[in-house]
Amino acid sequence: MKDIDRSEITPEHLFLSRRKFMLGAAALAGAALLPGCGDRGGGSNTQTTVSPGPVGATTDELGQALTSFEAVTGYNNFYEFTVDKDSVADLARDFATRPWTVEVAGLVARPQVLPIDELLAEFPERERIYRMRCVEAWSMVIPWLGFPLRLLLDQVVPQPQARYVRFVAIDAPERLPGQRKYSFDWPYTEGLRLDEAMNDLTLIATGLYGKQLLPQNGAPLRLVVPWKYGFKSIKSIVRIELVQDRPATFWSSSAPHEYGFYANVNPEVDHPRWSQKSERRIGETGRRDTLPFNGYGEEVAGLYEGMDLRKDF
Amino acid sequence: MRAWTFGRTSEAAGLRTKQAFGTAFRLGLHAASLAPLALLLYDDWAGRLSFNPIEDATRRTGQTALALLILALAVTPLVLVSGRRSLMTVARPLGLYAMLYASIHLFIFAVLDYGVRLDLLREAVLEKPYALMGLAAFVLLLATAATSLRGWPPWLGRRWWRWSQRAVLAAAPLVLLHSLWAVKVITSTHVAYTALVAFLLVFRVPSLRRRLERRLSEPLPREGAE
Ligand code: HEM
Repeated sequence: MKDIDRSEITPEHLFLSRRKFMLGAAALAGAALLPGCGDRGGGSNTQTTVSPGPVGATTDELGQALTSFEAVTGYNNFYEFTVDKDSVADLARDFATRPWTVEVAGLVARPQVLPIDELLAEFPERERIYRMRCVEAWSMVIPWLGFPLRLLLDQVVPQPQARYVRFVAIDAPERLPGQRKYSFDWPYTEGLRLDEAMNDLTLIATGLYGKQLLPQNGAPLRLVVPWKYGFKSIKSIVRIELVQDRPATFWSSSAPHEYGFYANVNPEVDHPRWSQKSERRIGETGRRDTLPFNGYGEEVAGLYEGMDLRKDF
Repeated sequence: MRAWTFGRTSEAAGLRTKQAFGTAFRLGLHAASLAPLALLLYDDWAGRLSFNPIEDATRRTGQTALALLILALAVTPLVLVSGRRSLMTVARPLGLYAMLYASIHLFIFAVLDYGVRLDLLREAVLEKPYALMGLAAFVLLLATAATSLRGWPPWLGRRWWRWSQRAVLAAAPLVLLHSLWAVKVITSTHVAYTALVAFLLVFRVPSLRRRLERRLSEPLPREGAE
């Protein structure tokens, strides 16, 4: 399989810096110069609208460089395979994503069971470059391909009493070593309020860097909610369900005091065990300041007007 | 006469082999203790660290520091059980190497990761229990290490000195807490390390220790005794 040469769309310096950092003598010598590094976050923030760049753009709307393809596809949080983020790609290599069907059901006028290729044909892919902020305080900038979830929801016509969307990921312990190894409440589930799900930013991603999604990134389709911590962006979805009551979600059930239902990126609300004020951008040394709503406040802050985001974390 | 000469020669030869063995053992100990650092630098140079190299290096140095600390704690129980008093000498280098890795761990955290941004560091270390535990462990290790060096500050009283030598015993559980709090999921390695530390600390229970010591010809120096 011959891919497009990634160096055409990813700045060269990312390749040089990846997997390397200054630990040796250079680090000692340069240590005094480092404090400046942390101030890069959001420095050139003049443009605030999220305008999806053309396929091949090299930065997001804030001018922040894309994370390299190798890092995006080589460093993954996907406990269904393993908790070791550098090993997911290896373990997921032979994970078959065909045949695959997605069921859209619950409180909808027109429930559907969609084979993945039909779904892909029906909703043309477009590119969206989003920052991805993991709750573990690292982040990436990823050029996704996909379509707004809203388009799919409009097609099945939610009933008036539907207030939340519940997502269910694949449950296949025989093919997913992590589901056998770790005693979590499988399958992985997530949820959004209906208005969050209908927001234009909320994406069903089916590819990245101009090609089909790889299994380690949640193939064949996953959710991407860029203003929330990464764990909300559930991978390898098999069921999307409209419901009336707020659904239980994987992490907020596993550790309710640490992970909430909303999980909006918020530098002012720490994880009980670590700070969320700053983050480590994969491919860089030093830290960036974390932005409220991951820098998408203009688009989404209105969804939470009047809510106490410390309580509803 | 003959027998006497024989005795002398074999004794001298025995001593020489013993010394050679001792030297080889010490060299091996230093090489093994420095190997993880060499490997880390090599992996960094070769671009074989994780895509999140700072996290990788933080973890690796933390894990090595903890492993060496556990080995240092294992010395006294090993001597008590095996009766090989000469093993006692490895405790100090092991402890000092643990300190070396803990220092690199902290350097990566404060300098490479946080770029010495004091506002972020203060918040990250003082307000978060896991880093606070790490800091407490680091201070205890530092106290033990400082007073392990020849010529420990003479102004430091005997009592103080004894306590700082015992500080290492408290450091291990603190490091365990620190590492358990730092991670998102607890794995079997964490459980194994915790069990091991608990097991090794049991040997410090005075009554058990005295019972084991009775089998040795003379009591062992304890932490905080020369
Ligand atoms: C102020 C002092 C310290 C700070 C700020 C600190 C910082 C950290 C951080 C940030 C991590 C998490 C790495 C990650 O998963 O991203 C960590 C993990 C760890 N640290 Fe420390 N540390 C300190 C002291 C120590 C000391 C003194 C030791 C041992 C002697 C130690 C041993 C460990 C271990 C074993 C882990 C877990 C590694 C793993 O299994 O993933 N730390 N530390």
